[in-house]
Amino acid sequence: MRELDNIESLIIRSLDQTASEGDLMALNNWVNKSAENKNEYFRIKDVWDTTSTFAIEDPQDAWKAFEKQTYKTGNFRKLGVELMKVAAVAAVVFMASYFLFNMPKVNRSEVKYAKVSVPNGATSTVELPDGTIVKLNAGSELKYPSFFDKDIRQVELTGEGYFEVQHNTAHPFVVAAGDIEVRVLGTEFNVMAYPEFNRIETTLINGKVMLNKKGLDAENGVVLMPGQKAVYADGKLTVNRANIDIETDWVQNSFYFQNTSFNELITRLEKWYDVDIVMEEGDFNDITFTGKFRNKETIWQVLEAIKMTTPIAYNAKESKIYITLLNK
Amino acid sequence: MSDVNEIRNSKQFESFFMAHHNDLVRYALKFVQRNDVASDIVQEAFVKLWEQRKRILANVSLRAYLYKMVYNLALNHIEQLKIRAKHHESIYVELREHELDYYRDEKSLLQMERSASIAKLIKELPKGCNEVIELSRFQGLKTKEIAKKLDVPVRTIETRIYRCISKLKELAGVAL
Repeated sequence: MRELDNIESLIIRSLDQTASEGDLMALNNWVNKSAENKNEYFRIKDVWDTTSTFAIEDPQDAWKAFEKQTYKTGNFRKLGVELMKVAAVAAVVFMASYFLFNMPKVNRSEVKYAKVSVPNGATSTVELPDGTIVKLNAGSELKYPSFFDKDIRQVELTGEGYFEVQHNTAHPFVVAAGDIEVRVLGTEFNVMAYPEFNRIETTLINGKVMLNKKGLDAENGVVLMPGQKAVYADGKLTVNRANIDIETDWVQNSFYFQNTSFNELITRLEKWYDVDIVMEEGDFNDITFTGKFRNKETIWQVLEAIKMTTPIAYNAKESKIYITLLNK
Repeated sequence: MSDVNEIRNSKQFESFFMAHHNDLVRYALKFVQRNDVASDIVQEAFVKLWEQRKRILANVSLRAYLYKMVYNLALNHIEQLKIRAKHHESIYVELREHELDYYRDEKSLLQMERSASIAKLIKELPKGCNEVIELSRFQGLKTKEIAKKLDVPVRTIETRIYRCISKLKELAGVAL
C-alpha cells in the first residue's frame, strides 16, 4: 500500500489532469477518509478553479450570443401576444371597417426568433407555437419564431430533428436546413443536417413533403412519399427507399448504422456521449461500419462491439478516449 | 449585493453579464467536462434570468440566484448523461459528482466574488511562487511543461504548486 506522503503531488496531478487512474483511486480513498481531507481537497481545488484565467471565451462574444437569443425577442414576444388578443376582441368591430379604411400597419416588420440549442450528450423535445412537436438530437439547434403569423410556418434546423407537424393545409410548414428547404403539410419526418457531415438527409415517415434547394421555387422541388429518403450532397438531390427504423432509431434512443464511415460514427458517438475521442494512428477513411446500439450501453461496451468487426485499440487517458487502427 | 433593480434595462443587464460571466463559466467547469457545455449552461442561466427579471422580488441576491441556476443546470446535465449511458464509469466522474455534492451547501470562492481579490493576493506569496503560479494558472501550462521550462523534476513542481496554492488558500481565508 503506497504511503500518502505524496498526497500533495497527487492532488496537483488530479487538478492538472495528469493523474493516472491509480492516482485518482488513491486520491478518492484519501478524500473519503475524513471530512478534514474532503475539505482540504475541495478548498484547494476551489483556489485552483478560481484562478483559471485562460481558455474562457471573451464575454463580449458570449454577450452577443445572448443578445441574439433573447433580449431582442423577449420584449417583443409579449407585445405580439397582446396585439393578437386585442385583435381577436376587436375583430367584429374592425371587420366591417376593413374594406372602407386601410388597416393601420402593425409594426411587426422585424421577425423575432427563439432558439433551442441542445448540447452534446443530450436530446430535447420542443413544442412550437402551432402545436408541432420537434425532438432534437445531440448537438442540434432549432430556430423558430415566437408565433407563426405568416402564410408559411418556417423554422431553421442545424443538426438532427424529428418533426411531428400539426396539420394545416393553409399554412405549409417549412424546415430550412442548410441549403435545403423541406416543405410539409402535416406529417412526420426526420431531417439530419449536421454541418460536419456534408450532406442533408430527409426521411419521410407519414404524410407528404416537398424538398427544394433554398432560393429555388417550391414548385420545382422533389416530392417524397412515405418510406422514401432524400439525400442532398455535392449540390445534388437523390431519392432512395428508406429504412425507417434505421433513420429514426435515435428517437427511441438507440442507433443504427449502415455503411456509415468510421469518422462519422465517431463524431456521432462524441455528440451522443459528450466525450472527446481522438483518432490516432491509422487511416480510417476507407472503413465503414454497420451495426446497432441500444444506447443504454456505455461507451466502453460500444467500443468493444466495434472492436469485433473493426481492428481498433482504444484507451482512455485523462478524460479523452484515444483510438488506434491496428492493421495498416 | 446586486438585486433586480440593477438589471432593469439591457444596458444594466449587459454590465451585470460582463461582470459575472467568466466566473460563472469557471464555476460550471467544476462539474462538467467541456468548455462549450459550461458556456452553454451559463448562457441558459442568463437567458432565464432575463426572462424572469420582472418576477424576481427586490432584495433577492441575483448572484446567488445565478449560481444556483448554473449549479442546477450542471446537475441536470450530469443526471442526463448518467441516465442515457454511463460513458465515464471512471473515478474521474465520481470525483466530479462528489464535488457537486459538496457544493450543494458550500459556497465557492467564485460565488463569493473573491476571484479578483485572490488574484491580488498572489503578489503576497513567497518568492518561489510567482513564477509557477503565473505559468500554471495564467498561462495554462501543465506541470510537465513547467518542469521542463524551469529545468526541475516534475515532482518538485507539483509539490511547489501545491504549497503555493495552499498558502493562497490560507491568505484568502485570513483576508475574509
